[in-house]
Amino acid sequence: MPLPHAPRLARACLSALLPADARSSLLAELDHEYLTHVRPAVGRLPAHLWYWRQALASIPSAIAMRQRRRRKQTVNTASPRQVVPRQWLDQSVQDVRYGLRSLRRRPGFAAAAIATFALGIGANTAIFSIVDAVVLRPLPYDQPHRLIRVWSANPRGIARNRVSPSNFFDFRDQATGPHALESLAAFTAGDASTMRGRGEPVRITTSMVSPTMFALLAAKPFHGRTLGQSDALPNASSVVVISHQFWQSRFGGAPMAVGTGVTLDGEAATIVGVMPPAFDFPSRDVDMWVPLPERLRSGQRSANYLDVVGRLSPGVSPETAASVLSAVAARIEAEHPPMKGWGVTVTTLHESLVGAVRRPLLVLLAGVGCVLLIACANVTSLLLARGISREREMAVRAALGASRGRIARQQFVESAVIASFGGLAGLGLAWVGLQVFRASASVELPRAAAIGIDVRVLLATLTLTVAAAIVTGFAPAWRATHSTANDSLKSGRDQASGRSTRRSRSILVSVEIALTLALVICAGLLGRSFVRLTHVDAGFRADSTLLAQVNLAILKYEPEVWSSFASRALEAIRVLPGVTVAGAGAPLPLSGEQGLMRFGVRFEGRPDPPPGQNDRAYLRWATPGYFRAMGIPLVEGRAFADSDRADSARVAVVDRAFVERYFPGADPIGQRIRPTNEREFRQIVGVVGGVRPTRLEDPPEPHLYVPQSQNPSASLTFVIRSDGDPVRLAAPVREAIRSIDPEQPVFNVRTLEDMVTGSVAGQRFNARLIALFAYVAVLLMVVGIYGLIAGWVNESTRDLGVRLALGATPGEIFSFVIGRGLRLAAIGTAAGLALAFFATRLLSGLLYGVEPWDPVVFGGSTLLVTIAAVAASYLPARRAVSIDPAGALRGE
Amino acid sequence: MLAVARLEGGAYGMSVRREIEARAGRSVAIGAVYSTLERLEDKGYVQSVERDSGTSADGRARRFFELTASGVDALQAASELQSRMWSGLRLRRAGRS
Repeated sequence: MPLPHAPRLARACLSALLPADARSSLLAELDHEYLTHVRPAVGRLPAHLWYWRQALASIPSAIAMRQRRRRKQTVNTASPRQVVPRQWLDQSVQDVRYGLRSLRRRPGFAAAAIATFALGIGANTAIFSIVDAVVLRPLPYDQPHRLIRVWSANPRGIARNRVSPSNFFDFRDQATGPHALESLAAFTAGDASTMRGRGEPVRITTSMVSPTMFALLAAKPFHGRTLGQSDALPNASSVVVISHQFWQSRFGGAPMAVGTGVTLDGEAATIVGVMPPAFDFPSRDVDMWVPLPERLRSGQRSANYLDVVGRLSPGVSPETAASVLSAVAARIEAEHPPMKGWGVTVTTLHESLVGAVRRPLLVLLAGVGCVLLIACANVTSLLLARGISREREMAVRAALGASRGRIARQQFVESAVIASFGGLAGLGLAWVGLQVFRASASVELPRAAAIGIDVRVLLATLTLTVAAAIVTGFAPAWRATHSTANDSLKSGRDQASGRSTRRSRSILVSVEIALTLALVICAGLLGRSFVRLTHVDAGFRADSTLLAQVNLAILKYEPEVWSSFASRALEAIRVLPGVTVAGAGAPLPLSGEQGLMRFGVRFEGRPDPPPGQNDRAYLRWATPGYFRAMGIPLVEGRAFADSDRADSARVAVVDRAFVERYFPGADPIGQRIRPTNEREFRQIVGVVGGVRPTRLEDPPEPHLYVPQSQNPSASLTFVIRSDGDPVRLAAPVREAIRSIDPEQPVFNVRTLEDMVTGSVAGQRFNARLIALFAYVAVLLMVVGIYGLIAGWVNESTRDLGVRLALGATPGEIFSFVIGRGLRLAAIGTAAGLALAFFATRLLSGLLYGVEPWDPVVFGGSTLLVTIAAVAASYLPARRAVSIDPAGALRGE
Repeated sequence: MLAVARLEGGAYGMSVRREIEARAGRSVAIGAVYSTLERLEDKGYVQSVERDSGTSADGRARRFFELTASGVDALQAASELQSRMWSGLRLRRAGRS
């Protein structure tokens, strides 16, 4: 563990400002106090705050001490070599103080500029910290670049399928060695299990893993040991390793947990180890790791349910490993004809984890970068406007001998002062934003636990702040040094330079408008895509319906009793007041539940398809009442009934997509089919409406429903439709299920609407955030246009007065001013449309049902931005109309 | 200066800061303490000596401060001035009858 140390940044700041002779002793005392008194007494974070407070509050004294030394020096006269840097520093200190003073003199200007920077820098810091934690930072494992994922590629072109155990063991045995892989491990993403042993039975998430996985990830146990190769052998006693979190919550962190016996899904097992808190592979949800037994080697090759991760041998590239694994796949293909056409896909582990979210996050980063650019343009424009009124001041300074460099530096120091305050406030905003983001937790991001403000993020904020200071300081500095001193001193009104400043500001504001329009268009596209998505017909009715899930795989339940448990629980639920219809099924569409599987389908009277080309359908389970409770319409025939029992004729229900694909133009009722996991054929008795397999944006795919009574599923979700608020039924439904078995855990009790909403949380998050950025951009743009036009009206009071005096009507003056705003808008939107045309290509993969060049969005956004531009010029136009011509002329 | 006097030879930047914090109940920045001590030294009220405290973690010598004769005089004068100003004074809040 590294030794605790004082906050480096605070220490460096203070160190830079202190005079050299006081530096070492003051800092030594401060550090000593921090390390030996404050930190042991109050802990890390408060101690950090204490240090920062000390450092910041000491800055004025440090500057005062410096000045005292300088005064003494004028007596003692320092050597000339030391003077230059010291003078530079002293002048900078002067500039900072001067900047602070001039900000204090104009609090309105200061507040506007700082708030603008705070918005821009804060939003960027927040998004950067998310992108950094999720995408940029290397994975928290030893030598992460050597970790890969291995998938099966199926003959129909889907590259990433899970791997069957028998294939995995072949890969492992034939591809490990110095030429390819150091090791290969398989795991399941997370299975719902029931643990009994201490207190009530609980539902936990287990992951079945190859014992080599721990060594592969270089993960050491917190207590006890990890799994070993011998734990996977056929006669080994059952052992498990538990997560740190589960150890804390279930065993109170007691070391005696290691060695404790538990019952996992009816089987006795012993806990042999606890993993450290940071170990969360394959996900944070996993409570327990159980060994993947070697006996699975003899399973079916088509049963793909393992995820596979590997570590490359030193110096081996993923491509080399891929070709070695492909050779193994080719051998398997030759020996097992049903595997014809199956290959291998290899990606890096990092890519497999974050590949799906990288693009949305980068789009957000681009959007938020736009906001910062707009903010910079705005502040520059404000600084330029202020520059006009200070032109004479600069001229005087130049006349009194200030060099161009000195004047330019002062401008940069001033924008740096503004940017620093903005950066600090932005850091605060980002912190608040991240708290809100964490609390909402509606978005599932990989590696989300690592999101926070750390040194990397602080460095990024610092970089942004410095960049913002330089970008915004450049134009005013250039302007201040290039106006000729003489002109400014002579001309009372700074006419000429005012005009050219205004031209620069007009360009800036046009850029703002362009960026804003591009951002608004992107937000519009994502928003429209999200609306489209929520209007997709999911195939069921989500209103007034409650869900409650159970997993029946507990010791006393054998598959034969699973179906009777379901029917008895349904009987108890149906008599509850407020329940109109209830059923149960698994897995539910859009639920994200594990267990949705696609099986091959065989048709009676048709020849089996050639190997590798299966007719396939998603398999779901249902009880009587399920389709009515879900609001899935019955199209033809009948739904399941109580008369469909284990010993009665075997039946199935299919959906519309199934009929369209496999019985085009024919009547499916009475036809006999079977999924390949069953031996006997089933008779199709009904056709129902289609549902989406896993996501709303998926097209409907063929589905096959089998009755729970004839092929029971251990995992089951009760679907209860009510005549009122479904949430009221939550407690009674739990009671009803417990009345069948008081020990049965009931979980995931939620409304069907919540489930559907949850399935599009990611898209909603993206759309909302980009929309938020677009709002901010529009706001900044309006402020920018307003500032420019209002400033122009102010300067042109005399001009406008003359026009009025010469007979211009107020209407003409009004449209003259508005016309200026419109002209800016026209230039800006033209550039913005061109920009958007390229920017929206970034979005193409994220849109559903909307083209990247959707004319409604493009037209609507342009209109919106133009209206905002006109609105921003409205107040200055009103002011221009109310000018009193006589007064304006006299004012000269 | 009072803090320096109270600490009786054990006065250095951080101990003075702690003393003020403990007695006056308000937080003071270490930089302010240093700056003030330096000013007092310029005025000749305190003098500083570098010596090894023996307790400092890094073994570095510390700058210890103690009152000079004119510092003691100045403190006493200030204290007497204060008590003279206070003697016989009773305060009443304005705006009340």
